[in-house]
Amino acid sequence: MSRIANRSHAIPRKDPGDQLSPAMDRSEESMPRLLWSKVIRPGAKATTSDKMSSPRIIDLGQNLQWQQAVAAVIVLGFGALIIDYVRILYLRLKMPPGPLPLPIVGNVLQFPREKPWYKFEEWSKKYNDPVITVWIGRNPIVVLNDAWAASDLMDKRANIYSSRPVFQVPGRLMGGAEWDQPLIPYNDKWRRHRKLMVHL
Amino acid sequence: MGAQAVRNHRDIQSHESAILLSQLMQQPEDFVMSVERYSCSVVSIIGWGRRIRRKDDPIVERALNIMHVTAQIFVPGDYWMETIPLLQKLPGWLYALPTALKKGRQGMMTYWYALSKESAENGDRESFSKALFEDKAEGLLPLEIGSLTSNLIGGGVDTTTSTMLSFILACIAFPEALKKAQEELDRVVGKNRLPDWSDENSLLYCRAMIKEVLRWRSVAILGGLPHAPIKDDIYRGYLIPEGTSIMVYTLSWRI
Repeated sequence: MSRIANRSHAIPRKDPGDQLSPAMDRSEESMPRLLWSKVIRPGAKATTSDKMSSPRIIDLGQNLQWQQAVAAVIVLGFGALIIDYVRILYLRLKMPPGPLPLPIVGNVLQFPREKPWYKFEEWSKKYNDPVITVWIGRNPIVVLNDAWAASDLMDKRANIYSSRPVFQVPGRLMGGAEWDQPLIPYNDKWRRHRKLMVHL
Repeated sequence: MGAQAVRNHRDIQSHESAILLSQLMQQPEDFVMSVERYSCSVVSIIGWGRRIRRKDDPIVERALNIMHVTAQIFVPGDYWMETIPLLQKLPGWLYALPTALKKGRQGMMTYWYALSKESAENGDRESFSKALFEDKAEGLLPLEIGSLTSNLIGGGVDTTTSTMLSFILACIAFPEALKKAQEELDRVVGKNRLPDWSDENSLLYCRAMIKEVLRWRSVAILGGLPHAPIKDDIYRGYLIPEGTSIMVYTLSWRI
């Protein structure tokens, strides 16, 4: 990537051997100017704040470009949201049962912030399964509500289930995943910390 | 701490529990803080070679503070920042909590690091801090040392305190069990000395009672910190994707 980028900057456009520069010139500058200034808003006029903008933006009309950018962001964001929600629903089909998650928030509006485990147990009874899935935003957690499931996964499959998830607040935000042993995933640093603690 | 290594600290526990008993007799109404001092002191001797005499020692205060924050922070869905991680990136003037939490946590670690360093340099007692600074701490960041030592508090203080308080609660809620335990103690130990570790194997009823308290009021309701699988796994036909938080609800009606 960086090599190509360097070339297009360093080599003058008239260089016949370089296919990249003319192509970029067409797609990035000529075409949008033609399209937006003549077709969408033919009579775009210069405004008082032009001194602060580049000449290209004068052509397009400042307000229009701003609105289009916002519209594009909204459309793209909405599209990403739908794709992501489809991913969540698809994953949900294959995972243990649980309440239907909403986009963005998952199930967090469906259980109380204080002592949520009572609600988890209620769901476990409702879905008649000791293993349930609850979505915290876009991420699932699996709650084991019986001793057999706990023993099957945490004990018998301990070789798989002994790492840590991403802890959004204490691990990622506060940085604990880098230096706090209980939050470090299974890696060399964790092994070193574990060794220090175990012989204590 | 390994199961074997724990045995090395039995003397410390015995001494501290004698102090606890005398405090309970002198000031029975203040039993919560007496228990808190006991568990802080055991940990503090192991970690920093420093006995805690008073219930209002700054370490006790900070230990309570740590557990208050920790217990809250790991409740799933409690922070909107956890549900929507993008909120962590909001500027400070709009959402001050992320920066405050981060600074608070790392500031706390700086305190524990300083305490560890001081006790490694000045303390004459053997301690975890001393061992860390003598040969094992090479290349560790101050944050790592601070968290390694203060995790003794995270692992040893609130767990011990709440189990002992649950035990007291159980004795009040089920006086017939307390009576049986008392009879066993009188029979095995007698009235002229305190029970010690050599009595452990003879005190069947007391041991069963302790085990039952651990089950009845588990200290880590969601099984401690969640685990996560290192690869996709199938269990009972269900997919459990790599990195999924796995919690165990230890008070469930099925446990």
